[in-house]
Amino acid sequence: MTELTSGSIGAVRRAVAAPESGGGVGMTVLERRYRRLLRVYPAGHRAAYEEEMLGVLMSGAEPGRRLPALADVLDLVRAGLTARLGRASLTQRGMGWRDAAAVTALLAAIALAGAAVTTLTSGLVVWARGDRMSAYGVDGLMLADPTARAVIWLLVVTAAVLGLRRMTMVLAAVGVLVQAGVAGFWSGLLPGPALFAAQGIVLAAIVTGLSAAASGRTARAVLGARGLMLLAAATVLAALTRAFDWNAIAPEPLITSPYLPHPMLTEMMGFWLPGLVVAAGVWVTGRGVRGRIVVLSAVLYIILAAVVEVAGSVTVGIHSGFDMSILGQIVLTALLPVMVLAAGVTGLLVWERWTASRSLRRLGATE
Amino acid sequence: MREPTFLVLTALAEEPRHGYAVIEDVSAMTGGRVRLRAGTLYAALDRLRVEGLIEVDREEVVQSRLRRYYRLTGAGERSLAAETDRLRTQAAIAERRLRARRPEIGGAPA
Repeated sequence: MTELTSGSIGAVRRAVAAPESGGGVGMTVLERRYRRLLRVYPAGHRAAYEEEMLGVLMSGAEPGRRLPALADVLDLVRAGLTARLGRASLTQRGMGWRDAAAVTALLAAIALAGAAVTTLTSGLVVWARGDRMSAYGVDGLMLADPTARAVIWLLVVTAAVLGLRRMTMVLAAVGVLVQAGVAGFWSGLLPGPALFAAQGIVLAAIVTGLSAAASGRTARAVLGARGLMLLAAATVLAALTRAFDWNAIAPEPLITSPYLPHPMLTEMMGFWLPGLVVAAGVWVTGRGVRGRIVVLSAVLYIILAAVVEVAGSVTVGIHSGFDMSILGQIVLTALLPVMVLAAGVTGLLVWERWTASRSLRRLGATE
Repeated sequence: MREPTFLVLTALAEEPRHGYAVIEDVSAMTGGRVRLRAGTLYAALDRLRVEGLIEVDREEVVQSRLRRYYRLTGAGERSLAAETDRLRTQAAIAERRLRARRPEIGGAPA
């Protein structure tokens, strides 16, 4: 950050430092106190500016002063801590979260689109077999729910992949309305699906919020061609394994062939294989982003689980009264995502501190 | 551009100055309103140097204290000129509007 290079500076520093090493003859109490205060700055900054700043501080001090001025102390601590955290790395850190928000929003939108397409496809298959859609809705109207969801989330994914930031956010907001409409639709019929619909609303709202927070690069820019390809590959893999699964358990399989993978295998692979490819896609976003995507995704997952838990507790409470244990459980469950976020952020900071100091030490060793 | 940054650049626009001279000059320029403190000053100097708007002119040792003189670079000159233009435009707008208010208020009560 502060690699001031100057031929004379070493000699100057030695000349300047000489009285100090003498042990206080040339150094006043005030100077020693200012020097101690300047330790709030990182070593690089001190090496570049300490003597100079000390000169400024001493020039500004009225004669006879023994204690540093309070305003100076506050100013130095603020500036020193800012330098230590690193103005550049601070904004970079902010950028990391914004990049991660863009990618996490895309991942969640893909999940929402995937869920809708899955329901829609299975509904269509049943429809094609002549069922009256009793299981999927009121005579065909039921397909309106997964169709609307599939359309809006596929649009969101498309906008994100094309790198249209505003469009992604606006479409995601429309997605919230669609999910809310779906929830209203189902809650009139069955409370169970309405619970899942509540999850949908929450997830849609989070996608909207994350897209709004992603004010930096778009998901397309963060992932790059490689990341996008990996996510596309994961989606195709998930669709394929899902299709094989259906085919295997269907009463009249569409395809029968001895070369099809075993149902046990596709069932096992249906989650892990696409998951691994998604992980690879997240990995290529690079250091400073991938860890944040993992933290955000984990928090998102916990939020979705918490929504179901809280809804369950509320249902129990409605039936058998809210006692302390149920209320406590609701509060604890609601706090869980916050705790996971705090733990994730802290863990990341500690980890980055550690890797940064390690690379600094390595630099020092080679010098 | 924040005010301390603008004032530091303005101080260096006249001649190369060392840290304490910048503080004194800024204080004089603003009639004592702005007295930069060391932390703020060196945060600005470090950033301006990294951005290439100022550079080290020379170093001196006075009474066993290091004095490093900074000077404005070409980029710093352009940046200060652009900011000055911006401030002038804004001040002109404010002035015009204030003048337009005067007849209608006509020495209105405070």
